[in-house]
Amino acid sequence: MAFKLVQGILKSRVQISSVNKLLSHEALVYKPLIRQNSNFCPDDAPVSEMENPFKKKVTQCILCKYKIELNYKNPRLLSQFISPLTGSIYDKHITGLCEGQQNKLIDMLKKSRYNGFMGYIFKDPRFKNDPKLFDPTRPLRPNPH
Amino acid sequence: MPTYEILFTVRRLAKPDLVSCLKRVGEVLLDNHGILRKIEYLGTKKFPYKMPKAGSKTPGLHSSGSYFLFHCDLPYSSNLMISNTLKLDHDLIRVSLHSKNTALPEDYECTLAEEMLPPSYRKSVQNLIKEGRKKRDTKDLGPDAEKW
Repeated sequence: MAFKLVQGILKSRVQISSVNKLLSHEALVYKPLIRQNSNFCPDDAPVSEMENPFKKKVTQCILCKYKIELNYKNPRLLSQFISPLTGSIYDKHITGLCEGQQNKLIDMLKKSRYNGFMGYIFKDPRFKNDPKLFDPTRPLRPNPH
Repeated sequence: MPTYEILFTVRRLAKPDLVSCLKRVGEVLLDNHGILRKIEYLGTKKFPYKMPKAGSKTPGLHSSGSYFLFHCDLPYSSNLMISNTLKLDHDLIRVSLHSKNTALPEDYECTLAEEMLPPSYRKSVQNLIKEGRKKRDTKDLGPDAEKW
């Protein structure tokens, strides 16, 4: 038994020494591969002046995206941004409009209410089945106030 | 001369009275160096709320009336004069004068993407922080200020 053990140890030592030899050998040292063939095609090289393909699209509000203009004579469009219960304007964290469009919406609502196209305290029941652009219970941003 | 829209509501009138009322409005515009482009009738309807005559102390409330729209060119100087004279007319309930160009400027870009960023990354907030750290302008108290 003792002889066999000694033999095993000797074998393992031999293996380790062979590995050490290999490591020192030049073939294992890393060398960067350089193409020096005449078949090298320049079209395969990365294009330097290319737009970033992973760039995210800029988010836009619904009015800027489809280029819809708000007007005080269009109460149907304006009444999509007011509460069906109280007729008050939703804030921009609910409507999801940018600051310029939201300010314009407030201005146009004021004009159309004064001129008698819309009521102050209710939404016109003719427009109750219009598509809903947002959910007021789930605002995009937290309330600023 | 900029283009304007003059929108007004007329109380319920008989047809000859309505015609004379519209003529009166047109004459006011022409007298003040205006150019009438177009006259539109937007219908006789029930108002969404009972309208008093704007600016009057009489308690009369109007529940229905007819809407009219005058497209016209007006000089800047006669802008205020027209709106004041039309408001004195007893047959007109609401009068308002709007500029025709209501669109946002052409180079306007949607700022929603910037508004959705956390506050410290927004330009508006960064400008506020800069302003807050600016030193206030010291008042000039004259050459003898140090003696006091």
